[in-house]
Amino acid sequence: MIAFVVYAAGSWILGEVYPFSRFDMYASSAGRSEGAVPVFLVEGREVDVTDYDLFSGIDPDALLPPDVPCSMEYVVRDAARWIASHRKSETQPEGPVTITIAYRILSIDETDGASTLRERTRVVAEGRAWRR
Amino acid sequence: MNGGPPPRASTISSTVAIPGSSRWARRAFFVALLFAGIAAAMNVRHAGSTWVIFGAFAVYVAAIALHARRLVPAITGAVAFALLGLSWWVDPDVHHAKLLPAAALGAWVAAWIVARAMRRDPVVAEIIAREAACGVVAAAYVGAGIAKLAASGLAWVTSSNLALLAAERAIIGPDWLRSIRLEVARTPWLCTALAAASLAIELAGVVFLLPRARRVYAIAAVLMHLGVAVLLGYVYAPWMVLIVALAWASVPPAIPRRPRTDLP
Repeated sequence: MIAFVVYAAGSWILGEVYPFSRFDMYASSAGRSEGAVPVFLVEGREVDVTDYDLFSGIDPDALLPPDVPCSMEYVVRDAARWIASHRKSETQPEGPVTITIAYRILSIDETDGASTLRERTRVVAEGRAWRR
Repeated sequence: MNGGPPPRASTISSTVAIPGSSRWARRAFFVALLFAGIAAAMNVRHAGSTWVIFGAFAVYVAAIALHARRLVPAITGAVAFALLGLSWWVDPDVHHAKLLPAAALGAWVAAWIVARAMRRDPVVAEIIAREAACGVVAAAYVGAGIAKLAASGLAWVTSSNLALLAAERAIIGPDWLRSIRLEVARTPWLCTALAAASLAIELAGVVFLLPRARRVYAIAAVLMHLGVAVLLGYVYAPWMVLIVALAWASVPPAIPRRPRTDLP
């Protein structure tokens, strides 16, 4: 019981300070009407961003969707980290591949007890890269 | 004394030693921590800290497996706890999957040290330490439920929240998994029921403080985690292993007693 109280109180007061946490997984995701799913495209085809390097023309700090909640931000952060650490230097040639970073914006239309999934795509960045 | 029952002192004193089932459960608990540590280490993006964490847990479990006495388990456990904290500093992204085993480990070590410092019997110290770990697990689940209520009230259950979460993950993964996620996302009543069930299980985490309720709660929590894994793709293996190990390690405590001398 003492450990329960100490950990609960510590987590509530300190937040995300090791070893405490409020464990607020998905807590803030309620109430939204749309969700953004990150996708990485080369010539319209979905790819794994880590299959590419020597990126140019992409700002890794501007990959999050500006106004739509994204519950998969960890994917974007991983990609941003990868792109930031695999940027083309000034002496290296620009990559032959055009890579697009986009979001599939999903919404659910609920009518008569059934749900219809709607989808549109929004591009946030486009640049060049080399396939590894 | 002649003709009377034999002295029961030997029977009673046997409870002072850790009984076989309890010893097995103790090992299971630490093996669970090892698994949790491995799974946690796999989440760390920096290879150096991954191997340090793995090594710390390996030493820790080896100390237990070899029946290390006195301070060795506490020292190695404290080292593992500190290294997990170091990995947070190295890799600032919060990984909730590895945090709970680390927090439980910290509670176990701290409680064990305090109990021994108060000159409690080693068996009692072990029970106190295990109960402290269970307390942290209970607090984590309750905290997760309260965080959802604090952020959005019952909207987390009643809105299309879970449907959207599942739909977002229906774009990734193998075809069979995508179809399951899509079907769930298209069934509003099922999404509401699943969200309500998961919130109820988290808020009920306080029952994990009760040894007799632990196994039932562990089963419910594991089912919830399996549901999360299927619908959202997040496999909280360390949490599942830890809660099952702690629940099954909660055998009736063998409280040492002073041998009775007033027997006939």
